[in-house]
Amino acid sequence: MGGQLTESELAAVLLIPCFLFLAVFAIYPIFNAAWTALHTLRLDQPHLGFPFIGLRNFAKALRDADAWHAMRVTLLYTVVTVTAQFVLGLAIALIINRMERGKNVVRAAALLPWTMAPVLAGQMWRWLFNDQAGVINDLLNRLGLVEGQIIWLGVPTLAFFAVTVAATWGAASYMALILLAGLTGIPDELYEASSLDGASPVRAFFAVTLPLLRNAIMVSLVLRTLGALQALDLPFAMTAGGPGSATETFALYIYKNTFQFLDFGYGAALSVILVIIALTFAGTYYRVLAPRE
Amino acid sequence: MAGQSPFRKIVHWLLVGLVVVWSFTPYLWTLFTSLKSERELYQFPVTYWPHATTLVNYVAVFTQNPFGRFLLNSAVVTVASTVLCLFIASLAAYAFARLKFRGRELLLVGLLVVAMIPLITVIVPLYILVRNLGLLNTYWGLIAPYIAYSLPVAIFILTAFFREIPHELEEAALIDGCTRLNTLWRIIAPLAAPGLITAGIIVFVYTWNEFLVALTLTSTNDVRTITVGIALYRGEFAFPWGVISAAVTLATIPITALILLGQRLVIRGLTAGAVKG
Repeated sequence: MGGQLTESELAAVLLIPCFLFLAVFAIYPIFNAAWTALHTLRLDQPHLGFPFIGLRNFAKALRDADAWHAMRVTLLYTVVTVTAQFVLGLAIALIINRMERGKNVVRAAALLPWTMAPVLAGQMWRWLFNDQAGVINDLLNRLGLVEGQIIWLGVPTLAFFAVTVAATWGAASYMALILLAGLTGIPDELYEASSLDGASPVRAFFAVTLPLLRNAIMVSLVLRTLGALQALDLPFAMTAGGPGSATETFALYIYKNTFQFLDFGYGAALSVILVIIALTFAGTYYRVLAPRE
Repeated sequence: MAGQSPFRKIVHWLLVGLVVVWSFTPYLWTLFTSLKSERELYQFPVTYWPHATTLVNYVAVFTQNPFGRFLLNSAVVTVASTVLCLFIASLAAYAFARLKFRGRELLLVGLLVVAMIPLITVIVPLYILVRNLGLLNTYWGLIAPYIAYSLPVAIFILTAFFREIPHELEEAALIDGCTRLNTLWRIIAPLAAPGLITAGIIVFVYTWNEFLVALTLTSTNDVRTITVGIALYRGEFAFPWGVISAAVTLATIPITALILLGQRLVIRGLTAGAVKG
């Protein structure tokens, strides 16, 4: 085997195992979900069977106030967390990039939050934001900023804020590392040239740093946006979507419809909508930020 | 950037300190919480350094709860799927990095699109599929999907690494009469070791931390992984923050150790895969 094969044949042989796994566990389920979305499938009412109903699940989604609410929560969550992660990540990257000694240690420390499972980070932050004995309330009291205990996870806007803080903590470091790699690739001569031209550091930042970071910025924004749009683990563990539905993301709403209401057809339609939104975001970023030759 | 004023140096080191505090404090807080007794836990104002350090929560993790079992399940599932994923991904990555064939670019784009599909979209068909295969509540029922979902990222990282291995070595081996598969194992694999370690760590972290698939495909403690075990844990009376914090601490130790050991490779892998898109 091997010696007599042409390159194309060898490639096919090498790609078959990978293709089989993806076909069975990723590609087939995607098409299956799209197919299910066109049917009624309610596990709590098996007598309904599996009738084809065209786009009626999608029409239902358009009229579903809770779905719109979950979509608004998700979009706001995405905009707030990705913006905060980007600003903070860029700041961390710039700080680490200026270091001469101890760079590796700080970089490793900065990487850690990203490596904690979102579902565990959710538990952890739930404890930090605890109203009775949480350290955040305690710090605010000691600093004299507030009196008494704020019920962080019991008030809709505060709970939303708390979840975005946790999400920002978890992913800003990842953003920072990608941006840092971009920064390391910018030759020092460019900065020297710009300072010889009399440009201020601020001007150099906008004229040299940001344009050359374009690629790294695009990659990090796409990855974090796709992550935020399907956020489920973190709010699941931290607030379970509450109080009420203040932190119920679209992915959580899909989960609820599918596994609590057992409406598989409707859940599938909602998840197809999420795919379309995710791919639209990715495509838009690509158009706006793709490297121009 | 040398020769700055002392003031700017101080500001710089303060900022560095802030980065470290921001990253570490939640971890430290969880660790401190896990070392406190129940009574101290619910005091307000909060005690910062534990007054009376106790390991009672860690004992509870293993004796009164199945967390030991959950950790074992996570280890088995994560190690098995990481190793198998690396094997399959390295074959595919070799093809993408080294061979010319029709539809190569198209397949890479397809891989990228598959990587973008939210897990929540595939979870129901996956559940039905795994149920029909009779693999619900088994290790293989988790390992097989985990291999599939880690393949794209592993292939991207490995392809980037394989491309950096000089062509000449391979050509020399081919001329010496090695078959291509032989070349892959004798020449490429040793040189690709850093790439394999990098991809391995990243896949390991993703798999160890995965929640939705494990939540959906398991319903017994025999196979539940640590993320699901902790998320579903409810105490009998008050919410057992001490025990939860101990379990979270234990669950993050393997990942933290792995990252600190291999941080240089991990960062290279994250950025190599990412910057090439």
